[in-house]
Order: sequence, then structure tokens, then C-alpha cells
Amino acid sequence: MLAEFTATPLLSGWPFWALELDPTADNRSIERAYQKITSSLQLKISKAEDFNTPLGVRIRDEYLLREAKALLINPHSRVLAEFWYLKPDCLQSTPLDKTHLSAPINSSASSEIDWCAVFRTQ
Amino acid sequence: MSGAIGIIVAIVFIVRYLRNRDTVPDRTNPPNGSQYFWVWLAYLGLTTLSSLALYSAAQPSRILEWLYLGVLAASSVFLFPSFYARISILLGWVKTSYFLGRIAYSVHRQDLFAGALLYGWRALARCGEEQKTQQRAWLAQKLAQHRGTLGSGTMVMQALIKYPQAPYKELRALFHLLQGVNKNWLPSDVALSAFRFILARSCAERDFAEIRAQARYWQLVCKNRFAQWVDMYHWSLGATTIPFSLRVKIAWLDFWVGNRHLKHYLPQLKPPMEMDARLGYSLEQLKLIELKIRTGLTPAPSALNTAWQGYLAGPAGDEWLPRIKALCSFNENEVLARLDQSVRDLISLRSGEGDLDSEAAMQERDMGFKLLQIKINAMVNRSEQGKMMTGMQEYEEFLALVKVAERLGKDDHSRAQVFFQMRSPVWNWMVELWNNTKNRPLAFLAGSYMAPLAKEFGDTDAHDFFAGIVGHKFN
Repeated sequence: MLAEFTATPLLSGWPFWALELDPTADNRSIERAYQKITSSLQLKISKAEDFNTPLGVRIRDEYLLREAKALLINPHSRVLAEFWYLKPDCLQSTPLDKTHLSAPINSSASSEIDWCAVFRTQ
Repeated sequence: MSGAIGIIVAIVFIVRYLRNRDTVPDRTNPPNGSQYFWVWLAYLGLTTLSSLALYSAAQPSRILEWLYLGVLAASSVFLFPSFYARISILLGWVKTSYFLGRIAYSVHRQDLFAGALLYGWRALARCGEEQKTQQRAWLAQKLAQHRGTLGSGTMVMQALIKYPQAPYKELRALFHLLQGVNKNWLPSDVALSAFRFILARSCAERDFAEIRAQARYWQLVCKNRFAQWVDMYHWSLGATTIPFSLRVKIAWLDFWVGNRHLKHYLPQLKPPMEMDARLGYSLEQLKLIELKIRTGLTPAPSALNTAWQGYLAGPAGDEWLPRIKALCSFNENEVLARLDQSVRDLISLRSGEGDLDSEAAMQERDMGFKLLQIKINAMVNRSEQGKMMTGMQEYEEFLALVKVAERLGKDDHSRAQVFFQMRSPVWNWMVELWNNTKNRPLAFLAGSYMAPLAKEFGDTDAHDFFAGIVGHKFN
């Protein structure tokens, strides 16, 4: 398992991202997705190792997939994964609503500003 | 002519002597800065006498004339030190700027030493990289050697000189403490530089809320129009309607003191995420906000935890119990409790609250109280035996004490314990500062830190004393 995902409950929905599924998937489609992705990993198909998460693209291997499948098949951990599931593209696709969330900061532009020089301090 | 000047000077001296003969010098407010008057008077006297001597002679010598003009020009350094200081700051001469600051009586009347440090600090920005560390150490050494009354300006300059690379949280806490300094001892350009210093750090750390908090405070000190502009512009970003008069005022301030980088940057930084927990947020929205906080796109809004509690107490059961039943047919309440627990874990992780029941947290708390006790004992010994250190040393000790107290006082219970441990020792220490060493601005700062705590915990005696120091009730 990626350490990044275990650090916070917020990312408990990671098995869905790794298997490219959503919470509507049943056990049969979980098994099918697992077989499909492991075989493409074995065949070394390009980009089979990459999967999308809201935090960006991450790398998967057979162990990660096996763990993801096990978590989704177990009803208790599946509830947790469903509860915390977020779409991988949620940061881009969700429109502004009553949370008044700001547009992403142009961080490259803002970090280029030398504020000490702007305000003549050091 | 010179006789008349001499008589005026003598009269002024006699009047001052008679007025001050029986009074203890008042150190509550800064000295009135009459040195400037004497410098000008001496210069006038010198000019008059030497021109009389030169031009009453039958044949004035050319060389003497040039010499005379040269001496006049050179001594104008004493008349307009701040003008010469500007030049030396541009050239990056730290020591020259510092010494010119020492005679800039009219500019930094409130705290002459702080003004000198400010000139030196400004010159630091322009001196070469290889010189910078050495010159900064020289300024820090001057700061440490200061023996007189420690003014508010010097306290602020200490932060600017000694903590340029300090962690942001520490610096922010220090500037919150410095909001309690006595403004009568704070020169206006020191206040202006201090605001720019903390503003630069807040912008670099993208601390949107702190930018306004600092602007709101510093605009009240010495008519800081730049801080007023930052405050109003910051406010206008979140406002739904802005009255016409305020639009005009913002535009007017923008014209004079507006900063174009900040103007472009602030809206990017954030239209603040205002959450109203009463609105009822869906799980998707709450998760999305948490994700944005985790990825650093927004800071955590204050109502987020309440919104989570509202969700768990309200729609969570209705939404999730059927699904839990469908997945696992029994003990659905236990599974629901696990979901609750995961939310609580997330909140506690985000807010960085340690678990008070854990062994490690208790050990840390124990060590903190021991450290507090050591600092308090040292303070008691110094004030009881009359062995007070210099103003700067006492100030640094007080900063260290406040730092330990703030670290310990995470909840109301601990804060009360810390306050009642500090109360009497700090009280006696302040009396010693006030009566004997005359470091009254420092006692003022301690009073303004302790007074709200005394009020909060219902200690009226202590509150009367601390608030009395801040309210100039004692002399």
C-alpha cells in the first residue's frame, strides 16, 4: 500500500482509484478489473502502471492491486472506501458552489515574487 | 547678538533646572527630545559668532572663508542626520547609518536607539552579500550591549534583526505579542518597517487571514496609510457590496500607497472560504473541502469541524445505514461508529491536536511545566534580590517565558494553570521594572500580555494592576 494513502482517512477510497472503479461496482466487476489490469501489467502495456488519483498520477503494481481487491471485497473496509470515495478528477470538474472554493492558485507565478524586495525588507 | 543668545540659553537652563529640581524623572513616556533644540541653538550660535569674527575683521582672509563654509557644511550633519543617513543607506554603509541614527533626535524622538538600529538594518539590505552576516552580527551586538531604557521600538527592531529566518509560526506569535507594546515609545518608521516585514512573510507563506489581521493592527499605529490600504483592499475582496464612498477611499489610498504586486496577488490568494455550518453541507462537499485543504489550495475554515458534526448527527445515518445493511447484514451501528471515528481521526490530524491521554503528550506537558517553573524561579530570584539584568536580557527572558506558556496552554484548563503559576512572579518582576530599573515599556508589554488572562480567569486584583500599568494609572 502507498504510505501516502494510509496517512489520512480522507484517501481511504484509494482501492477504487487503483482498480479504476467507482462505488457502484459489484464483486464481479472488481474481479474483472483486477484481472484486466494485472494482465496488462504482465504484458507491460505502456501506462498500465499509472492510475489517476485526485492528488495526481500514481504508480501501481500487482501487490497494490491485490490489496485493493481484498479491501473492496471485505464489506467493512468497502464501506469505509465508499464513504471516502472521491472522483479522481474532482478537483478539476467540480464547479464553484456554496463552499466558495477559490480557483487554484497560480503557484508558479506567486512563488516567483520576492516579497522582501517588494516591501523593501530583508 | 551673541550676548543675547547667551542670555536666552542661560534663562532656559535656569528655568529647566528650577522646574525639575524636586521631581523624580518620569520614565513612563519617552524623553521629550530637547537635544534637537540644543543642537540647533549651538549651530546658530557658532554661525553667528564665527561670521561676526570673520566679517568684522578689516581684511577677511579667503582661506578662512572657505574653511568657515566647510565647517558649516560639515556640521550640518548634526542638523539633518536623517538626510545624510538616507545617502549612507543607499550606499549600504551599516555602521555610518547606525551612528547617524544615534543623532537623529527629531525623527526618532520616541526611541532614538531603535531609530539607529533601523537605519543600520535598512543599510543591511544594500550591503554586499559577503558583508551581510558580519554586519548583522555587529548590529545584534549593539542590540545586546544596550544598557538604557528599552523602548518599544527596540523590541520591534530586535524581532527584525534577530529573527529574519525564524519559522513563520514563531514570528507570527511574536508579532501578536508585540501588538501590546507602548505606542508612545514606538517611532513611526519603525512601525512602518515592522508592518512591511511581517506582511512580506505572510504573503510568502500565503497566510491570507494574517495579512488582514496585521493590517488592522498596524494601521492604528502612527497613521500607517499603507496598512490602511491593505486592510480596506483585503476587505473589499470578500465584500458583496461596497458603498461608493468606500470605493473612492480605496481608490484614493491605492493611488498614493497601493502596491501593484500585492493588488494582483491577493485575489489569487483567496476569496476567503466562508463556511456557514447552518447551511448543511453534503458529504461530497465536505470531502472536497478537506481535499483542497490537504493539497494546500485553501486554509482550513473555522466552521469546518462544526459542519462535519452537523453532517454526522444529521443525514449521515439516513444516507449510510441502508448501504451498510446491504453490504453487511448485521452490526450496522458498529460500522457507522467506525465511519464517525474516521471523521474524528481526520479532524484531529488536520488540526494537529495531540491526544492528551497519550503517554508522549503527558511527558511533553510535564517537561513544559518543569521548564516554566525554572524560568519563573529565575525571575523570582532576580526581582527579590534586586539583581535585574539589562532591559534587553529581561525582554528576551520574558519572550522565552511567554513561548513556554503558550506552548503549554493549549486548552482552557492548562492556560489557567499556567496563568496562576506566572501571576505573582510576573507581578513582582513588573514592579521591580517599574520602580527600580525604570524599564517601563517592558513592564507595559508584560501588563498588556497578562491583563486579558487575568480578566479571563476572574483575578480582579491582578487585572487591576496589569490594566493599571497599561492604562497609565501609576507614576
